[in-house]
Amino acid sequence: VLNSGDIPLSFGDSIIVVSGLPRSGTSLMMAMLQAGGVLLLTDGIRAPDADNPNGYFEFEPVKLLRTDHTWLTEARGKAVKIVLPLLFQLPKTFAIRVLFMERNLAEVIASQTAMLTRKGLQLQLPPETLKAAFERQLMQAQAFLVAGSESKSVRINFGEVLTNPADVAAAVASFLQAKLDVAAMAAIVNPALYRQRTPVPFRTR
Amino acid sequence: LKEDFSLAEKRKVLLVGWDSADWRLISPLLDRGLMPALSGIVEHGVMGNLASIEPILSPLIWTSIVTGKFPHKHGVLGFAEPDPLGEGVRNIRSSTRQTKALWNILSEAGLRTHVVGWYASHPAEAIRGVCVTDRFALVHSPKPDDWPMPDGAVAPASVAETLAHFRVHPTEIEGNQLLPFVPCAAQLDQRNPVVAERLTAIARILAQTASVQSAATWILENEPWDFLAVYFRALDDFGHHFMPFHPPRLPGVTGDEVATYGNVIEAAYCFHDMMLSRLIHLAGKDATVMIVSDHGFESGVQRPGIVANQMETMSQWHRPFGIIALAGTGLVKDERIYGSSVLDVTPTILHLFGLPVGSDMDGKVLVNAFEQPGRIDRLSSWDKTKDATPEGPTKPPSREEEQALFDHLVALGYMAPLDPNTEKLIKSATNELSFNRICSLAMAGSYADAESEARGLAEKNPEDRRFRLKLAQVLLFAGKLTAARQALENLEARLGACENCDRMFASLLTLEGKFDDAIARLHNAEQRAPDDLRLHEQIARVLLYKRKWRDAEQRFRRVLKSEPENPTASVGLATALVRQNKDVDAVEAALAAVSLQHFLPAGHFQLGAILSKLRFPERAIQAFETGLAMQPGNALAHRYLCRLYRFIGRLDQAELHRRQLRQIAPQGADEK
Repeated sequence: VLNSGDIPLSFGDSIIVVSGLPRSGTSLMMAMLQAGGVLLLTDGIRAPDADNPNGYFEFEPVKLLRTDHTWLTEARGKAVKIVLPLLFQLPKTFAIRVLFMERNLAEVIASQTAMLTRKGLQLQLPPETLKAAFERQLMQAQAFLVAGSESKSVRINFGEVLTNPADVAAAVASFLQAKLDVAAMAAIVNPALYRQRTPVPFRTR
Repeated sequence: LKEDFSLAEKRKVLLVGWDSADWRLISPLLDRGLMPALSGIVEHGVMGNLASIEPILSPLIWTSIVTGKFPHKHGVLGFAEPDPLGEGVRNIRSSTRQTKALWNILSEAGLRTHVVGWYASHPAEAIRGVCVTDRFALVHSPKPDDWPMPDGAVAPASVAETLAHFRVHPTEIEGNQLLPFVPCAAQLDQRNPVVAERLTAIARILAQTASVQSAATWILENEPWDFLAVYFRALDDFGHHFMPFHPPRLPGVTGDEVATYGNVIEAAYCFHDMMLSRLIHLAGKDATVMIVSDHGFESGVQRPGIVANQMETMSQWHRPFGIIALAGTGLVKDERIYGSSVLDVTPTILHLFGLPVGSDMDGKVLVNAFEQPGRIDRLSSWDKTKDATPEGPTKPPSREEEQALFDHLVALGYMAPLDPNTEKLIKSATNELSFNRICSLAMAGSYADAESEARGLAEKNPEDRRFRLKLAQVLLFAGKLTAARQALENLEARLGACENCDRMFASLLTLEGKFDDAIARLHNAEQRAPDDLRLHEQIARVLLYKRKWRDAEQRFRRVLKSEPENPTASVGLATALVRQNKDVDAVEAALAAVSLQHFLPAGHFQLGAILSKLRFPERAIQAFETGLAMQPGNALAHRYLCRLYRFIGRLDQAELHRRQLRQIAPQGADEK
């Protein structure tokens, strides 16, 4: 698809940012974008593992965004994963389109806990403290996205990606105003990897 | 609460903060009629010194002013704080504060409350009025057309755009507007970088001040209000740039510099008076006006050098006494008040509005300022009441929580560990906050907590002399002499001796009764710092213990020659004089001490002892009673009072003091 030449995939100077809390589906969205034909800014340093069998799609310099953002020019026209709270370190001078992933916080924390357990570590904060901290970060993120005059954003519910991947893929393509391969994007979603489920129904946005 | 507003219903209060304003500079200007607005407040109200608290750092003290609490309670402990999720460190902010500020409390009480430019108030809080933070006026760009207002500088958002237009950029300051400050500015060679830097500093300070004044006057003109607090930092800024050139000329400052820049400080005070005049006019004649400063500013011959704007020495220029002036309905007129502290501002304003004072506040209501103070209502803590601000409670994460969250994200692999430089920055900021917390705990008398934190800080930073000295000082305050000796010996063994080490060792030796050793230590320190007045005063004090009255007198006189307004040296001189039977001079010295600083229990006790010796029992009783009101439980004062009351035939009072003395010092109570 990328090489067919008939799909306008240039996003000009904009950077597509996939953001959200760690374990809220950011890697899944990166995989969907790749399948849809979007160029990704990744370096593959962080290898796939049991927590993310399809890979993390990360770019190591992102983790140092608070001290160095010179690499951002390289990200123009591409998609890059920037989880919270690193999102707040993005300078306001760049035009960004943010795909912001949302997931039930209990699931996020359960997934993070499982990830720590696999690394042989433990949660250092009580879950309720972590939940409150994440709630604050989500509020901050909302304010950050609203305040940025050069930014456009869309919130994507992780549960909906799993239940209606085709609709979500179409919505993403529409937001990015690009002819993405929405069928390929939907096909890559594997609900079997949705391991931390809560009985709470997802809110549809 | 509203039902109890008998006094408050019509009360409006304008609180004006002038950073580092000092009566020593203001009084001569009042006498010359150059500060008419402030003069009106003083003539129609009360004035006095406002004792500052340690450490004398603006964010801590201005937050204490609006909370009534010591810094270790309100949590604003420095200029910067660690920010592991961000750039490593960040400026202290409103969310750092762990307790409600005056504007939160008054909003909760239903009062229309506004705050402009207050230190450590960013980001703006949701209150029942307009909140304009200290970042509103900050000049962060040299280009006036590329100078966006920082996010969160104004709340509510509906007035942000309007107020943004009132900000003044330094490039908008015309050359002739600098002339009141530097009359010969037009004749100066502005290509000279030093001249350019100084004139630019004035323009920048004026612009920031004008922005704050504009926002405050707009609110007074356009918003309904019951309380407005506005803070101006300019006097401190002017002081740190131009106080070295203020007359009298200091060694190392040229006559030309004094001629060129020697007028800046006076002009700055006059400029503030003009702004105050406008604020008072807009507030209306029925408003209660309170002007306060967080500390004073050294301006005489005792200025600590000729550079005032270096971070390391800035606080040395701050004098421990600021100002308070207060006028309004129900307040006494043309009187001085004594014993006021920066901690008393919030309780006093709450009482002005008829609101209860928090029992967890460290300050008190300045009852002497009221014609009829009435009953002071109390509640356990305003922090336990429902937060009734329009947007509900704000509960920011603690620093520990932020650090834990950062560690959590690093453990998950989503954030990089801190690089060594950032880690160093964070460590340095954390240490400073801890150091300031120790100072605050010690000042509040919480020695156990201060010791615990000081031990931790010294152990984590074994090469830092300042932290180890602080531990020794806390141990001395706590009366743990053996532990203090151990701490000082360890310090000297590891890092070597120093002047401060000698001085602290001398304090320890004095407390141990080893006066000769103490003197030897102080002579050591004297060789390193022969002109240090604090050192001379300490030597003089040890000479008193050694009963070397004449030598002590000479030392105290030497201190007072350079620092005539030093109250503790005056008390020491009085002691040395009375022991030499120079009783009249001794009375004069003791009176000078208590008139310089009324809240000086040792001064009143010394005055009482001299008056007792001179057979003025009633006056002696008055002096002792005054001192005891300030420092209850002084055994010597009770002993004197027991004897004096018996002498004048007031046996009931004599018995009362004998009983109190027995409770304090059972062994020496039976006065014969």
